[in-house]
Amino acid sequence: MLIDPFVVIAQIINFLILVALLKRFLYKPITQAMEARSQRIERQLATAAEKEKDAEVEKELYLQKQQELASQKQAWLEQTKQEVEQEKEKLTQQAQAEVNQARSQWYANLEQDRQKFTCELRDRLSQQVAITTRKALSDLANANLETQIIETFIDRLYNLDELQKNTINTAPVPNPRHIINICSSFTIPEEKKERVITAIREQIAANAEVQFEIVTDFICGIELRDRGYKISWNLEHYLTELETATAKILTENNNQVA
Amino acid sequence: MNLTPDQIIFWQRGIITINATLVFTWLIMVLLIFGSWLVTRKLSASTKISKGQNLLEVLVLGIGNQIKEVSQQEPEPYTPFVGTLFIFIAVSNLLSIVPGYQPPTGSLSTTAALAICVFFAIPLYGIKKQGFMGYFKKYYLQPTPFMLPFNIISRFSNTISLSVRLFGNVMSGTMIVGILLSIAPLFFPIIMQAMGILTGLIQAYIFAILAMVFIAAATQTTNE
Repeated sequence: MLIDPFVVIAQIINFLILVALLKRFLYKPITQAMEARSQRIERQLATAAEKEKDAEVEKELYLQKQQELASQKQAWLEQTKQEVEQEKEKLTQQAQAEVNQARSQWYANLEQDRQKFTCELRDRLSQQVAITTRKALSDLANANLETQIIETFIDRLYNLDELQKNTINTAPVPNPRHIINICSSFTIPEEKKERVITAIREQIAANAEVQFEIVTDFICGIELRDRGYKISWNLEHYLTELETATAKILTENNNQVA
Repeated sequence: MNLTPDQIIFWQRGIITINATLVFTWLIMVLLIFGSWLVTRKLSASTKISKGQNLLEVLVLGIGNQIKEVSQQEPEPYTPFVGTLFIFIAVSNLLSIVPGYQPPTGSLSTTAALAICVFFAIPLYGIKKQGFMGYFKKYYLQPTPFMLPFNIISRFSNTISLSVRLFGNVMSGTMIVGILLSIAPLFFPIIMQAMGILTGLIQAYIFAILAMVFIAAATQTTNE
């Protein structure tokens, strides 16, 4: 017989046992494991989504901070640029001021040197002119220069015009004695002194008392001072003119060099 | 040549017979349960899993998907029964390539036992799902109560056809190999063995799917 009842019953029991055991050892654990994995993946996805959300927030925050930083940086740069410009301006002005001061100082020194040089030149020129003139006069006129000066001075006294005479004579006399001072750079011989006194008394004041005085400031010359008026022949005048002309030439030269 | 492994008897006392069918069935049971235990004792819920776990997951998931496709229902309540049918029959047939092995499914007693299990499982699932009266009315008294005898015959014939189909296919496979061995001992049996593996798997699939179709028919009436 193809069907054995005992085997059929035994196989039914075997099969049911197999179903129970496979349910216990296969389906249930495998299903649970898959379920757990599925839940875990869902959790991980949820966590990932949450993290992504957080990351988005962080990203927004970061971008915002970056923008703030960029704007701050720009502001700082502007501020620093302004400060640098101000400092540059300040330093430039300071340097300009220092340069101006140094230049002014240099110009002052130069002017001082020029004046000093001019003075020296004038003195030397004057002395040289006096020496040269004296030598020339003594060579040419066969008389000393002082004699010529005194003669010229006496001529001037005699050649005073009326206007000058009136002006001097109408001026008030400062003291009762009416002393007239004759200043000269050299000693006047007695003979010449008499002639000078005579000329004064004839031309200016008949009762005047004449005093002679030697002045070392004069380079070479003779001078009469009375009631605020002055009659003189002095090499100083020529030298002053010479000095003025020399100074003018020097100034023009300096300007051309500058 | 033995037509069925029932004829290979190892031990007998009275009606109790320990034959090749039972022995190989136990062997398969041990193999399946031990294999399952071996794999499932160290299951991992992470994304890195062992090859054995991967295999079993694919298997269980594939069975579940097939059940869902056929029944249009959640597969969980049916997976242990239908899945065990498939796995048992498939392993039983696949092992036929092992020399000396006699597939238990080549025994009409085994296929009858499995068909009887399906026969009883159908009303059990149906009653569990929609109650005894609901199941009885909608499954046996449709379209009219006059159809009750035919419906009963239909249920029995389903069971008989299930068991005989499986037995016939497996037994014929074994028989063909036996006959070919005598005619052409080289090469042909190998091809037939390969064909046997394919046929065995198809038979396991057909048996499990038909069982599920019957169970689904018994449980789906409520939904309709």
